[in-house]
Parts: sequence; C-alpha cells; structure tokens
Amino acid sequence: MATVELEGVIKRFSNVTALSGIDLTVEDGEIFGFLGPNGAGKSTTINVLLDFVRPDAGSVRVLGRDAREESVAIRSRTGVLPEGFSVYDRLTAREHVAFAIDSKEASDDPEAILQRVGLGDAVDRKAGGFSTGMEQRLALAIALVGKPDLLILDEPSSGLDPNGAREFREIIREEHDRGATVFFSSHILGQVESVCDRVGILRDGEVVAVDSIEGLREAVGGESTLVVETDGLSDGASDTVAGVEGVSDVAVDGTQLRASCTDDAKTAVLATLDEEGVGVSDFSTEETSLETLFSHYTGGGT
Amino acid sequence: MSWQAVAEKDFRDAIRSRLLLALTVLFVLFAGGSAYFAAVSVFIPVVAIAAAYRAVAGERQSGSLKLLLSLPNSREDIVFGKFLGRAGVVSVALLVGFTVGLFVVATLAEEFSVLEYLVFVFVSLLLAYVFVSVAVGVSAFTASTSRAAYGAFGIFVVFQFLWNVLVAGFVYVGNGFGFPGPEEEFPEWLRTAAEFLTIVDPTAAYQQGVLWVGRQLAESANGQAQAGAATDGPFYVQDWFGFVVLLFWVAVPLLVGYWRFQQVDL
Repeated sequence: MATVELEGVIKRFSNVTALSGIDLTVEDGEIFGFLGPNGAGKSTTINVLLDFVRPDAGSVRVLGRDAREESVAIRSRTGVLPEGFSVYDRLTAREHVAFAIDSKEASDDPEAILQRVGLGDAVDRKAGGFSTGMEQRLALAIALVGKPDLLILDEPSSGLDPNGAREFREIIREEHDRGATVFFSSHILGQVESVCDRVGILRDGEVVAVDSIEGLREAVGGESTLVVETDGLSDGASDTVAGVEGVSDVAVDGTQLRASCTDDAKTAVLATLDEEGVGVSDFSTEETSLETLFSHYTGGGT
Repeated sequence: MSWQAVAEKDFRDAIRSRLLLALTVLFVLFAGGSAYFAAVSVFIPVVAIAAAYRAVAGERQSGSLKLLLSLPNSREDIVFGKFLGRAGVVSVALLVGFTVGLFVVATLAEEFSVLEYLVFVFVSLLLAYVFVSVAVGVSAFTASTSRAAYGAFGIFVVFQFLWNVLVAGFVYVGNGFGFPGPEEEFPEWLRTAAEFLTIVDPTAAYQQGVLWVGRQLAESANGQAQAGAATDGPFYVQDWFGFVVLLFWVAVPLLVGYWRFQQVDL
C-alpha cells in the first residue's frame, strides 16, 4: 500500500506553473527523500499533501484518503514540520506541545517529547526567545505528537548545527523503526543519502527521477570525482581535460581542478595535465556524491 | 472538538499581549471616568478590533498558521476558534474595566441600580462581539495584517460615524436627488427603507438594546408601560430588534470571512 500517491498534479500561481504534472508514490514504512533546488516545487508539493494549497488538476491521496476532502483525518495521523513556520512568541514550549496534544486528542507527555528533541531544559521557556534551531526542535516535537503514521518534514535540518542534524536523523530512524513512513525534503544531500531508502528528484515542477541511492549512482554511470591540486591552471588545460574520454564534467576552483570521470579515465586526466605542463601537488578521489547526481538531474552542473 | 483547542490556545496567547494590557488600562480609565454610554460605545469597538484584527492574518503573515493547520484543525476550527478566543480576551478586558466603573459609579451616583448596570454590561459585550466578529472575519478574508486593520477599522468608522450620512444620501437619491420641503412627505417606501437602514447599523442597534433594557427595568419597577417607548410601529423600529441586529452582525462577518478563508491557497 502506498502512503502518499500523487498523480498528474498540476498547480499554477497566477501565471507561474509551480507543479507541472507530479507523479509520485511513497510506500508504507519507507523513508523517502525529496530533493530539488529552491523553486522546484518541493514545498508546493508538501502544501498540496496538507491541503494548504489546492491543485488545479490531478489526484492526491495520503494514507489512503483524499487530500482535499479528508484533510483533517489525514492530519490527525500525520506529523508535520512545515517550512517557513513561526512559533507563538508568548507561549512556552510546553504550551505548544500541549496544544498539539489537545488538537490531536493524543495522550503524550509534553515533557517527554521535548526531552526527546533536546529541549528538556527549555520546557517552560517562552518560545519568543528561541533560536532558529530551537524553533526547529520545537516544531519536530509538535510533529511527533500522537505517534503519527506519516511524518512530513520540510527542510528539517535548516537552522540546525551538525550535531542537531545528527540528532534529527536519529529520531527519523527511530520513527521509521516504529513503523512510520517518513517523507522529507532537503537540499542537504549528505543527510538524505545517509537516511533515505529512496529519493525523488524534483526539477521545475516535475519529478525527474525516483530511485534508491545506489540505483541513482548506477544511473549516472558509476562515476567518481578526481580532485587535483595544481600549481596553476590555464583555461586551455581544463578544456583539454574536459576533452579526455571518460570525463563528463570539469570544474575549476582557483588552483583546484575537479573532474567527474570514470575510474579508468583518472590516469588519463593526470597524464593530460602533465602534458599541458601543469604541476600537480596532490590529488584524491571522491566517491560520487548525491551532489553530483543532483547536478546531473537538475542540470545545475558547472 | 479541536475548535476548543484553537480557542484555548488563542486565548492564552492573546491575553499575554502588551497591546491588550494597554487597552484594558485605557478602558478602565474610560469606564471609570465617563461610565455609561457615549464614550464607552465608541471605545468598545476599538478595543475589540485592536484585540482581534491580527487573529488570522497575523498568523498567516508570520507563518504560525502553518503550525496551526499542520495539526488536525480544519479551517472552520480556526475561524470560529479564533473568534471564541478573542471574544474571551475582550470579555476579560471589558469586565475588568466595567468592574472598576461599577465602583466609581456606585460611589458617585445618587441613584444606582446594580441590575441595570449588569444588563448594560451584557449589551456592551454583545457590541464587543460584533466587532470581534468583524475583525476576525476581515482577518480571515485577507492575507496581510495591515489590510486586516484598515478593513476592520474602516467598517467601524462607516458604522460609527458615516452611517447616518450614507442613509441621508440614500434618502436624497431615492427621493429623486432632493430632500422633501417642509410640507412634503417622504414616499412611504423610502421612509421604511431609511428606518430599516438606520437600525441595521450595529452601533445604533446597541443604543436600541440599551434603551430596551432601560425600559424593561423601568416597567418592572413601575409595573406599567412607559410612555414614549418605541413599542409601536413595525417590528424593526422596536427597541428589542436591536438584539436581532447585533446577533446578525456577530454571525455575518465571521461567515463571510470563513467563506473566503476556506477556499484560498495559504
């Protein structure tokens, strides 16, 4: 069974097309990463799931229910960390969570939930004085109320330090282990990579790829990135490297050259630099990052 | 019933606003200083609007509406819960003011009926709820708090200060662009329409309501009907009709605001 099903979803805002036919299925119990550059339509898609925004065409079903007609029923079994939200400055963290518990008719203990997201020592502080990271933790606490079947997290790690991001990932895994389906959008690819079962890539309001992380890597052709520190680069040298067989992409950053290429082409790249008279002080290889995949699909390369 | 959760949260939130504290203090001074009627009837809508105009639009502008709507609250819960929350807050502010006023009046006035005062407070709360409804309705209708403020205060200004002018203008136009001379009579339909228009103004309806209360109390004291009371004529010029008008204005702005709010993209 699918937890989230979008079919041919179209949404226009005045004369801008935000979603131009989204087809997407998130299966029960998986952690699904939703990637795309800003303006690709990630938040609009999430807003459609929550009935904040009504699509012009297409069908949207969440937890087996119609997103438009049965939104309240959907939201009573869903935990949401929205993007661009704000907290109630005059209410304490406890009051926020208590309100969520009331709304969801759940029976959680506000203190325990706040403890879990790392706000154990701010339970009775007013949220007006919270940092962005603390607000984000508070929103996660609200999302966790009532043991939801589906967690929708829109850019959950924005405003968090690396430590906080790691704690969030742990919570996402715990929720997944409990049986929850997790749907989260991000542009921080390393996090998606380390936690997701599958990833969907969104570009200009369309889903351009859905696959597992490994599947996506294979799709791009098992490339990796050769990083070369040089004494100095000319435009001619990098152009010549770009022409080497097996090299798909070359980026230059000061004296550093980054070439996306097949493993076989690495030696050829180094040899070419030598022929061009470029001194090489160091080189290393990076495994294909989601970043590279991302560029590949969204056309945002060099 | 999550409108209750919304109302409770909203009450907790709004009651802590500094603006509300300032308005309450101001109202205490007003109610204590001038007690009764004229000034109070102008000030009540101001308190109500100031306390409520941000109710929905403010949350929409800041983004906390996303938190509110990510929980299983329907848009209906939000509009009606907000109305209840803000009505509660305004009630607190007015009751504090009127309590102080009660002591002032009781001390200064020679003849004073506590019952009359209490009923006057009740009618005043109704007027306050009318403008809480106007403010929440406009707030649900628009996405920006400044438009919510202009809209709600604009409606108040029209009712409070411009309504009679507008009714006069209507009569002027209806009479063929001219007021009747001293010996002339209005056409019957025009007189009826003008009377009706005059009473559908909630601030006029409030005065009718207060009159009705006064008459009821006087009658029960004397055991006979008072002369000169507006008990004759069609139903809409009778003083009890003021309550119907007030209830109408509590309901309609909320419904219009909700009608708009439930169909927009947020």
